[in-house]
Amino acid sequence: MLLTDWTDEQLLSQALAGDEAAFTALYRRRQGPVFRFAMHMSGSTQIAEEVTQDVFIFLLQRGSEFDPARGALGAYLFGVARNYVRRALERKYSENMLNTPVEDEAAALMVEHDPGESIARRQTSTAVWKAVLSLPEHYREVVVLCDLHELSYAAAAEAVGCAIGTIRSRLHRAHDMLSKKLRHSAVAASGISGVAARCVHDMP
Amino acid sequence: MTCREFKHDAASLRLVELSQTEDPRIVDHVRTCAACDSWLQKQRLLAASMHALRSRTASLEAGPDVERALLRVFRQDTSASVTALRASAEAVLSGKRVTSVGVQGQDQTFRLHPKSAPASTPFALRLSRFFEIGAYAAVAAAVIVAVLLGIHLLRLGSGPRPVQSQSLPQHVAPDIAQPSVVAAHAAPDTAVLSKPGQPRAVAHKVSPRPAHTTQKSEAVVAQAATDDSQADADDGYMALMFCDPLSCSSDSQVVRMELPSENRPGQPQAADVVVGYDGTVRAVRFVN
Repeated sequence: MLLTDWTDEQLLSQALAGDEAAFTALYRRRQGPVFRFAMHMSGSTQIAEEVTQDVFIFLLQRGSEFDPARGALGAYLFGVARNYVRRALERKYSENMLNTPVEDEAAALMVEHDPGESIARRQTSTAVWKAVLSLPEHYREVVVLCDLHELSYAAAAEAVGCAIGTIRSRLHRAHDMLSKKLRHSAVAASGISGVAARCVHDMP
Repeated sequence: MTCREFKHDAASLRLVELSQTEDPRIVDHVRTCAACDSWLQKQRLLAASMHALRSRTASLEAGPDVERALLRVFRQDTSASVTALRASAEAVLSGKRVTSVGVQGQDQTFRLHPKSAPASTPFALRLSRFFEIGAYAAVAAAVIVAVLLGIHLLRLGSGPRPVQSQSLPQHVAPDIAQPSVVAAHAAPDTAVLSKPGQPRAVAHKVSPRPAHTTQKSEAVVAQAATDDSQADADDGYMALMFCDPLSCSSDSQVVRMELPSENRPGQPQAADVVVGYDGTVRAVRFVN
């Protein structure tokens, strides 16, 4: 039986028993979602890598406390990552290290990964990410979990540590806020492009 | 299906599911309700934007350095590494910063995430700590001043009170000594208040007076307030009740009344009565 066929729980138990291959397999299977969650939440590659690293160190240390009966390992890792992201963001703000706004970093990351895409599509994605990053934290995390990572309401509730109804209401409110923000950004973008168009038109 | 039911059903679906839903109830309602149709269109637009963002960031992963560092940690099977990891876990649990976990092996020391470890404390951080310490010092100084002020006030409150401390404010007109003066010079303002068969009363409106004449009368009021059993010798007024600054600081009137005398039947006794705003008699003076 290949390691890739093992469940997360089996890999974790083997990793905790000292099986390096199992730990590597588990890490490679789960580091992407954890990293992307932290990335979506913070907009910072550095924070996302720190969080990913801290989450798996935590798993090595406290993985034996994981109870499969309470939920999937993926949701558990999201819950751990959520706490680390919060801590990292608080630290970053308290240290006044935001020389580069996270939104700008997110936009730069978009350009890096998709250099050939059309400008309009890239602008749309950047605007959405900026809007998500500008949400309050408790709204942002449900949007990232449910909309960007497609977790079910139950799994999101387990990761966040609240009731499913709370997830629903937060998501509903977050969608309204996102729609408003995107409408404002669209109006601003159309205004800027309109000015640019007029400038081009007025040129001799 | 009402709009409320539509929103309820929509809320039970995730954004992706809602944007692709073909639920006949939802579809039928959207056809008949423009507002819900508009709302659903916005949700679909949002879902499309989210999908674009999700697909564009799907390839993001942690760098290989993280995996290498974690594997090195995993391979550490010495007691030193276990101790370090336990310390880091405890630090995480206690809320300390664990951006870089130093693990000291037998012959080497390395960091899991070297680039996240700042070489020195940033100036902004030092500045913020300076202001933080300053804020703590300011709060401590404020607490000390408040405590000293409280002690001072307690001492003032427990010691013998000066008579003037309970006097009425300067801008408040009523006092006891004033009415006799006002009554003597305010004949046009007087009015007969009595009815036939009842004691006659003449009311004098209390008017403001110069400050130099207020001092004495305020002292009299204060003294009457501090000891209501003591008859007020000045101006012949006798306090009839305890009078604290709150209840006696408002406007009052002096009423000249003629009271029946037991000693001299048929000959009424004139008296000046100080009546408060609440109709309560504060003091009285018999007029010879």
